[in-house]
Amino acid sequence: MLCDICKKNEATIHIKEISDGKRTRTVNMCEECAAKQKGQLPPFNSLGLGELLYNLQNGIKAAAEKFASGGNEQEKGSAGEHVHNNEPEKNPDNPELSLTCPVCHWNYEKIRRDGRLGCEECYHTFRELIESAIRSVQRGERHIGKHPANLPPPDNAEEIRRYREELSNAVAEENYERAAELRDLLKKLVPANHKTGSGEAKK
Amino acid sequence: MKKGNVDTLLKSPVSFLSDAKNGGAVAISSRVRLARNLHGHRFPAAADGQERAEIVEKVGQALEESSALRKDFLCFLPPEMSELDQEVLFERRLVSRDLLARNSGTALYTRKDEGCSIMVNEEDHLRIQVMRSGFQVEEVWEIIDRFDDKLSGFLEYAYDSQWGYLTSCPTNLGTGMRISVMLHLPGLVLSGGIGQLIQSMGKLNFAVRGIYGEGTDNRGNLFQISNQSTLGESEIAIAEKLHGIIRQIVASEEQTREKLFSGPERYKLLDIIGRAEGILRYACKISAEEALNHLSMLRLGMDFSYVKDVSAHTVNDIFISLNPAHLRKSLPADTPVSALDIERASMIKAKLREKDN
Ligand SMILES: [Zn+2]
Ligand SMILES: [Zn+2]
Repeated sequence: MLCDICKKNEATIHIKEISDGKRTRTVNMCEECAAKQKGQLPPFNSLGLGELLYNLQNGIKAAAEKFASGGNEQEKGSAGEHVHNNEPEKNPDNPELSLTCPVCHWNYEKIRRDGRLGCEECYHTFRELIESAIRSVQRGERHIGKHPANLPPPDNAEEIRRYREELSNAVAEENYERAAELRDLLKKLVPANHKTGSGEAKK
Repeated sequence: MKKGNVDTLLKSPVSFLSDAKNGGAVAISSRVRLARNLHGHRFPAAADGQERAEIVEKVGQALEESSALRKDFLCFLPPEMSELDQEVLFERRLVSRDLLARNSGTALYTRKDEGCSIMVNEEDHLRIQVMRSGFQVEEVWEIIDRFDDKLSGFLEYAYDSQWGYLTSCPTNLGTGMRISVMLHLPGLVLSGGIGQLIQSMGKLNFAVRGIYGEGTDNRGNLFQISNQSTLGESEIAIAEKLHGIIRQIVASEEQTREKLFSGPERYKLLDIIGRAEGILRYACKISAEEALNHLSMLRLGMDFSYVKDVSAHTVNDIFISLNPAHLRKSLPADTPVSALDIERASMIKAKLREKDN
């Protein structure tokens, strides 16, 4: 859904105004316009005490919708990623569109529409579509964190490097509270890197 | 494993409410969910009833085999349950609408105290959940982390070295983890500050939503803050970040309340609280939504010791008992739907009069 105000960006904030228990109108805004409108639109300044109902964006659902649309809002203009971002009907030559997963038999169109995959194998079959979706809904492209007990741990060196950098910035800025938090965090992350497995072993 | 009985659950309190304040009055509960799938099986939506039944079986077996896990788990099979009993599980936050929508091959395994549970064949094969009252994000993470480790000794998870735990929707990929904290924010709602909060959360990649239904309302001034991104950061880093954000929101809610109670709006606020208590005590007919909103004001009055003769226990008890399915379970089966609002009002009235306070 496009922003009602600029008609350009994706609307992420939906506000329903309610008066006398009756829905009067819905305003859909992007974050940028919402920030500009602050203090002008009734929902942001009137103390309507329960009269206002915020249609809170269900972030997860919105992200799923973004995925379903192939992440095309975000990815336009970045080189090399345009092919799978276009609508399939405009792009009949794209071989990916005729793909069907050999295991679950779900096809490209179904996956693009539902934003859901049918099985593990779909991750290989529709790799490009998924990679583009990941770039638009996730903060990173590689898993860092825990792993099943019988598999090697993922590499979290990059994350540790990032927090060390933030720590030295925090110290430079004399933000000691943040620095202490980061030290605690690093203490937890560094041993995680050497964790070779946890929990009960596979029988 | 023992078959669960909804009537037994109803006898004990829900896991996410506590009569003691764990770390303040603003954060009501903390929850972590992990999405896990079994290697070699299609995801629930692509699997047929038979394959889903196999998965239910496998998860149950894993719980049985792991001696540490077995003893106090109960099994519920929603497709075999009455609609009313299914709703009770939903109101106790043990199952989701998506799980109930699938009419075959689903299950809920839950510990008796409801603090740890697994939905089987919702969007993913397993949705493991650990829930505690109050602000206990790190503790909840540690509990679910250990539980997941144990379970992974008996189940082979779908996992990829680049993408982590593989999930049906790529929005859960990686850690498969969703942490959420339920916050009671009447101050920010009354002052209008909530709008700004919602915007800034979006920028930080955290979501704010109402806790009821499908994220479209703020009944009872209750909000759920959760992480949106699951890939590219470790669980501990996500938990730490959420922890910091919640701390800020709690501080700003507390400041706003302080301002409202000491500023020129004081009498307006006390009036709202007083009227809310009056309606709860004397109304003869009340909807769940209206009751929740007044209960929120009553809770606010209690946090400021303005309302003194009501206990946290009573408020928590009403909070869960006013839900439609819980209410209906406490009434004769032939009670007409049209009488529910009347029954709700008399239930609330009676509980507020009880002298357990
Ligand atoms: Zn806009
Ligand atoms: Zn597939």
